[in-house]
Amino acid sequence: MSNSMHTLLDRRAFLGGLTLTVGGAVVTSLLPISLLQAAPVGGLACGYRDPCGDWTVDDMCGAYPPYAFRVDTGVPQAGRITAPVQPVDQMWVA
Amino acid sequence: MAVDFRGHPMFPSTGFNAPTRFEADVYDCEVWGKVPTDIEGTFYRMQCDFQYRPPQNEWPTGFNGDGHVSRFRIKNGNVNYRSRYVQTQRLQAEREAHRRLYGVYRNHYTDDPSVAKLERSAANTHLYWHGGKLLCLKEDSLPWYVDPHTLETKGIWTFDGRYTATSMSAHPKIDPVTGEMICYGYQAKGDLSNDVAVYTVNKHGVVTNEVWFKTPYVGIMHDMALTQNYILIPLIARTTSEARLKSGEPMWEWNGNLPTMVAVLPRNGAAKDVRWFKGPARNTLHFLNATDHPDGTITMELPTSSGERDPSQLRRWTFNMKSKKDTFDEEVVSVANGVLARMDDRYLSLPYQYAYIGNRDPNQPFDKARAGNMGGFVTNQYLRVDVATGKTAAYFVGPVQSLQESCFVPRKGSKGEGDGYLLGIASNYETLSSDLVIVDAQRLEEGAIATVKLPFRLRSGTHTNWFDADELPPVTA
Repeated sequence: MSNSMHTLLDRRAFLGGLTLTVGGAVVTSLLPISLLQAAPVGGLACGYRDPCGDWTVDDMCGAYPPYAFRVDTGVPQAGRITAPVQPVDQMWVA
Repeated sequence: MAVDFRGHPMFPSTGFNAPTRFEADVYDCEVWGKVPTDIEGTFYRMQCDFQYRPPQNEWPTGFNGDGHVSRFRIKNGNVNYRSRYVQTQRLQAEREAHRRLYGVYRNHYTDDPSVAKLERSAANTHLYWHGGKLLCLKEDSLPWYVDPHTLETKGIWTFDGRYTATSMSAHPKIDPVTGEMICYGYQAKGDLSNDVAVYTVNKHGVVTNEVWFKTPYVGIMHDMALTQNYILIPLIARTTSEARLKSGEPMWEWNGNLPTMVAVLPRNGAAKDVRWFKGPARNTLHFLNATDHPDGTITMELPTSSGERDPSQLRRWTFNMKSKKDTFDEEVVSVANGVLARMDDRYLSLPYQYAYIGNRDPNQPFDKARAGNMGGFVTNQYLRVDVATGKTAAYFVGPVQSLQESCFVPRKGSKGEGDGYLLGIASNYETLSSDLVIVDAQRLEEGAIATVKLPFRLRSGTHTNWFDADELPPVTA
């Protein structure tokens, strides 16, 4: 497969759209149970959002960062390396 | 057919989470700091790896990769590392074909017909040493087992034919008092069946009790909790159906209009004794611990979120066994947002104080220039959470790393709960390599006391476990 065929899925954007259309107001209408009745630490409310960013249903699986998240290689490039290269090896040098 | 992962949405770059695809031995690993000499045993870690390219619509969690076991053997402050694949039928068939034969996650309709009669396990989720076997577990299949030292694959284990379910969860629980392992399978008569089979296995590996019951819907039952009196198995609203499988999709979809159901079964009880409690849909997979109380209640702590877009918190569910109420109550213990919580397993099923949980603290620095832009998606802390008060202590791993699941290891002569170390893998996004970090569990803020350096990366793993040297068979030449 060539690079030109790459189709990168933005999983978070995809699942986000899906949530808006499917998730909706389902939980609140479920059961006559009093939940989140106590929040001993931090005074939480149901509307608590993770300040770290987005969240999807698959994040509960524990692979973190998610496999589908683009991870930059992160290794700083030291700049172009100059070294003597024999003609026969030139083909290996960018 | 050559292997080519490019263009797959699960592998968007050649970065840290690209498939690892090799086995390794590293003797006398490089150590920065000092590995404590009061621990001796083996830290095991499971990783889902990919020998071959999965279908394009694979479940992006990556949980359909091949089981790849790492073991760090620690003695006298020295560390030897080894990794091996579990040589499942699946892996061997695919290697023989030089390509992927199994389709998307737990969907046999997408498999190549040539594997229809083969065992499906990828043996890729968790490891437990019990009854003289190191079990490599995947919840849709029977256990595989490997040699605890060489990691040589031995085969499929059916407990001498007494485990009759078709699957076993990757999260059994071992009672520290009796040495019994409580394990279960769901979809236990094959895909889509609403059967659960619960087994009690004594410390010698012999099945002593078996209970079968039905679930109100077919959903995921990934983990369980154990008290001295009860077995708790939550049913979570990730559901599936024949129609979904036939459509070619991975097994699970979130179905937030269904309740969370929790089966509570007395230890050594029968199917008629199962009692179901319900609550709103909760997105959760892993459960920390549960405890009996004199007033007839059971409490269970777990990381959970309220829905498919809410971050996780450590919460407590309470079940009143003396009441006829069929619902459970919920409260928040901590805002720790990690989803993999561990404890001092010597206190599993018993009253306890501490949870050890990964956490993402956005106030800690992350060096994008050195590690790349992770968008905040890092686990940069291990927290120790006092489950009674919510008080926390934190270990910060550093500005270019993210932590994988930890494991508590008691020190020799440990004087009580929490007297020991946390061990876990840190992914270094600057160097694209992995470290085993060792932190004093009573002094998290002081940082790692030892960092075991691997000269390569281990992509995000699933679960870890530690077994003391005196639990494992002696190492022979």
